[in-house]
Amino acid sequence: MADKLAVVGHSEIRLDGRALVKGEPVFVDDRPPEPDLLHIALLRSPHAHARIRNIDTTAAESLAGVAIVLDHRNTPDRRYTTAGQGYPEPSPYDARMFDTKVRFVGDRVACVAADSLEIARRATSLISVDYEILEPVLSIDEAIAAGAPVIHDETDALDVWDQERNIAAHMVARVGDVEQALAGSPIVVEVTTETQYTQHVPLEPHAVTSYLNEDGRLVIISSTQVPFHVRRILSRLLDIPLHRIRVIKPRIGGGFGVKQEVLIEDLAALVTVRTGRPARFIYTREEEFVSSRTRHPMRITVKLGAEPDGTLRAISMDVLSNTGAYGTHGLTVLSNVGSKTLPLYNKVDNIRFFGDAVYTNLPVGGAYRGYGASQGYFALETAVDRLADRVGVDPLEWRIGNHIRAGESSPVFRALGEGREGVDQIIPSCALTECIRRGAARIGWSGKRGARRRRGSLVHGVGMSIHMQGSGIPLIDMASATIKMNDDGSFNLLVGATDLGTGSDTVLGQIAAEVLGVPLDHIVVTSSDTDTTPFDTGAYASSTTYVSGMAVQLAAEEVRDHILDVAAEILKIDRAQLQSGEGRITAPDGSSVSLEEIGLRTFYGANQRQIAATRSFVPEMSPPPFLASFCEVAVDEDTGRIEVVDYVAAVDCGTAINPHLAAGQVEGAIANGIGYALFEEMVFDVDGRSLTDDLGRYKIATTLDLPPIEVILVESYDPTGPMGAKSISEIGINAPIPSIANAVHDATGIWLTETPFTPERVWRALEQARHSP
Amino acid sequence: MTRTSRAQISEYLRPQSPDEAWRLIESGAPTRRLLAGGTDLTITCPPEVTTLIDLAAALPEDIALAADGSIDIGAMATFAEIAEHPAVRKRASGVVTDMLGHVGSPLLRNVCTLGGHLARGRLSDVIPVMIALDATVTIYTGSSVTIPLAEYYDGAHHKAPHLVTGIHLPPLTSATAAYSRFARTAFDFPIINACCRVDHEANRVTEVRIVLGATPHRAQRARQTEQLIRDHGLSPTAINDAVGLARTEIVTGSAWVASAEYRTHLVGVLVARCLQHIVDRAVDR
Amino acid sequence: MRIAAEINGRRIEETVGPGETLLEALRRLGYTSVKDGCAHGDCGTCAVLLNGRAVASCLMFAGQAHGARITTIEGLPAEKAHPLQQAMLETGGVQCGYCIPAMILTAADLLRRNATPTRAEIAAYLAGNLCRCTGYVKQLDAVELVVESPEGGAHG
Repeated sequence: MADKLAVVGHSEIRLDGRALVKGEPVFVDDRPPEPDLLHIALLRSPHAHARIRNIDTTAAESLAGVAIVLDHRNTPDRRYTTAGQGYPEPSPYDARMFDTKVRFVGDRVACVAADSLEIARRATSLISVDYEILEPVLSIDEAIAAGAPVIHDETDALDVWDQERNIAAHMVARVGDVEQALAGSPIVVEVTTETQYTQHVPLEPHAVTSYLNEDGRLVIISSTQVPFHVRRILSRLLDIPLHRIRVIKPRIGGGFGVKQEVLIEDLAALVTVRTGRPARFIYTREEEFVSSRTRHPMRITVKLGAEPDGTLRAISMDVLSNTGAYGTHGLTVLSNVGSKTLPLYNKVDNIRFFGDAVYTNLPVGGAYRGYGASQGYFALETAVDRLADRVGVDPLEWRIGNHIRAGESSPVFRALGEGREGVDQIIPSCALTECIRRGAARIGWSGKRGARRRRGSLVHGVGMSIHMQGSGIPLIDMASATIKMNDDGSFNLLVGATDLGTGSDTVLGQIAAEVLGVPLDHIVVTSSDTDTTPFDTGAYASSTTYVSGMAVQLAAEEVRDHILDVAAEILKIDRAQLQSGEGRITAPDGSSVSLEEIGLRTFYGANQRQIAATRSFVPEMSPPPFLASFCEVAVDEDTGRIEVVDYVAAVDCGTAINPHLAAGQVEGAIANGIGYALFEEMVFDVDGRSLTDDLGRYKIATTLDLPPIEVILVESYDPTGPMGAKSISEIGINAPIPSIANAVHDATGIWLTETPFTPERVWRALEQARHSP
Repeated sequence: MTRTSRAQISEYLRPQSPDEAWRLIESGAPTRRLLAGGTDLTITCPPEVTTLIDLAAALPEDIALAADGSIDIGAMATFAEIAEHPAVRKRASGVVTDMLGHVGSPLLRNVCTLGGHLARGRLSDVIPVMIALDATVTIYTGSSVTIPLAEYYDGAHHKAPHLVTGIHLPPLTSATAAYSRFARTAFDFPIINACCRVDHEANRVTEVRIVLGATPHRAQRARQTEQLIRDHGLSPTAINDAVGLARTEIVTGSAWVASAEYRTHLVGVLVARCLQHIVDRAVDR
Repeated sequence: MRIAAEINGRRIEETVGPGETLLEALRRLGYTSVKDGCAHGDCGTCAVLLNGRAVASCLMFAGQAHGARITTIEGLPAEKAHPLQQAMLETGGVQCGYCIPAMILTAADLLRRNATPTRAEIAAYLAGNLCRCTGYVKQLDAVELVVESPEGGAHG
């Protein structure tokens, strides 16, 4: 397929690459300071749970250089959600800009804008706050205990499932009768997994600059994944007409979901509106840990009911999710725990999903690459290995026999959507069996599985897991693209889509270039500016390549049709006979006209007009990418340390529009997933204070902590996607936890159920196994 | 976390000699701080500090191998410079170079100075190794005095105003050493580390050092275990006994990153690995 | 206070704060390719070459750069992309790009002193340059590509 294409399927150098390797000032905080710029510092709650009795800001306000102090007394008191989701957001309205109650250590108390950051920080230390300290709720178990303190006792919250019981969100889906099927199953496997708090750690922290332009309109330059949602949420929160706000996303230094949240834009905006002065707010790394968003920790129980030959009869999945102090993404992440995992095994008639997302006085969960699926796959894919172990079949062959295939469906697609009922879909493309076969061959599955090769205290094992995700949210996401032609035969591609470092500007440009028959450098891509680019819901839910890509393809096809019309006029030949490519339109007789001639003529010649098109796309389905993950581990039986020595990810993303960028998404996600599995962890003391608020204590993988990661892009074609493509950004992060856990079992016989798999935890499990008969 | 701030710093002094630096710090005023590499003070500067005293021009940074085989390291030598020095690479089977390759990251090792690191004297990979090599530190308080590093932190010197001007590694004959550390990731604080040194003379063990660090204490010598190896050599039985003995004599503590029980277990594992490493190296020779 | 230094081959004299870090001073002076990713020496995005050696500029005071030779990514030859920059583009080693200037400078420091490092040696020298996007695969590929190019790592 790719060899017939000129631009798509080729690893074009990313459009922003040159600027990035040269260190050009392309990030928010690289902008020269605007004259009169105010710097913002935040006063954060030192308490996990407290009511603010009184707050005195007079000393801070009278400090020279302080322009304004904001707290709950002088800011809007309407409830909203910081989740940057489509409208109406499926997250509860349980937050205020500043509240009279603080609900986690790091919660907002006040902010100061001053002439310098030093002054702003000094001023925050001059604010005196009288707290009535309340009993904190610091775990899922404490949250659901009878008589637990109520975290959201306000009367004006909206769409909280059960405030009295600290339940932010609740989700149930049923297919068939799981209870009966489990009771009648000769084999029942049950596993309960626990996952920890982790943080996204984009290397660029949250950053925003705001100013009033010459027309008095509010301009927000933000490191956001969702510029259009930022504009809408700011407008509603701050009562500013939407058309008076412009949001621009420049280059951003990674997001992984944490920048799908309106965390700091409101403060900069309000400071600018109140003072008339530009403002800038950059999170410190500490704030990125304590006042930002996290991955929801979860406790998940999966039960599989099966026949003695391994035939699956029932799957139940029960989820308790810790959403922290606020319910942002609480419901939808919870839903995705099941909706992105359970359809994978569709040869089963009885499925039940049950989930609660509970409030605690700990940092707030949010969107994080994988979006609940990562937690769900730990339970599901280790349960599958246990089942295979019990019935004595190769887990690889069991998976090949049970995974969903192209042309098939799963009742889960309808039963469980994004926080509501989902959408029926038939899988348009699936190369998962081939992914499994190729990954197995590369890792050496048949030779290594069960071999328990030893070297000193190290014992080796191999493990695998399989995964699906989605490509956008069906019937909810919307993307649009505008393409206009220039008089040299080049094109401007305007997209609302948000490139957060993934390379989506390049991918979308490649789609346009392919359709229009020009090299990539003839496509000038402008993205993520609410004034100049058409709407896009933003970069989340693995939507950009598939959803935004389709909008681009449709717009490009329409522009190509206009071009053919002009060429037909010039060449005096029926349009249907014309071919486009290599910058020309060619007739069967060999006569041709260049795009430059067409562009020039449409501007200045006969029948003048602007060739342009805007198209939007709303997906009716969400074709899943598929992944077969394999790893080899060496477990040190003396220390409990797991070393991942080899990693193979064979992935089906349909057409890889840009193979380097596609593989890079999987490599990065696997790397993050290995950290999630082995050592990344936010730890809190008994008062809910973070013990891991810097990168010295919260470790992410370095060059020395990762195995070779080989990504195999398995050829497939999705008939519903742009040029056959599906999205690929999230899926990889789901794999390392179950693959590593399954490999550790292969090596040692122990089942790991709690992440991270620290050496001490593994050592204790090994000790227990040694001492039990 | 302790409060830190650099905004109040109003003075930056560059003394040109140890004596000039000493006179600036002598009074012990809490508003003044000595600055060596900077890797600590940039991120943990106490809010009362208003004056920095940059030691770059005041203290030596050279590394020299003396005729008697001792190595003198100027306080301002960076970890990278020390690790790369040919004499250091050879000392005690290269244990210092080996260890420094695990401290921080290259971006830190190019900045961190040995003098600054020892003067700070907190959780460390360096201190246990330096103690195992019988390092001495030279301290300046108007005049110079040289004391064993092992005594530096216990005595009054470390608490009172002073300058660390140099580190001295005495000559060792037939010393083989090994270092091992355990941490969550490659670039991380140690959960525990160990350095063992064994001196041989005609196949007889003449001297032994076994030092554990990050237990989470700074450094502890396993003296009974040292004696055991001195008495019984490096036989498999002796190493096995040393593991058990080290676990009983080294005191460990719990922190969120590791329990005392696990650290104690690791004490044995690391001591065994270091001693076995020494055996393997001796065989190589 | 005043410091004199050489930045990217230009002699400069600048006023810096006594408590200012080198990172803060460089960014204030417009060298915004030097990133402030953590301010604790943990992420490596602030790396510059100080007298040829890659250092975390957040862990030094500006005053310590007095008399030093500093190179930021802006100091690499502008007329044609430095081989490391080109290799990062060709291998796909750049995703968000926030870590990239520092990563290239650190690799340049390594190649200057060791023109033929192994992949393991490259990984070891880049261990303080965190990247959250790539898993480092294509970044190590990029440095290897330069090492294996006809001109070899002598480019550094």
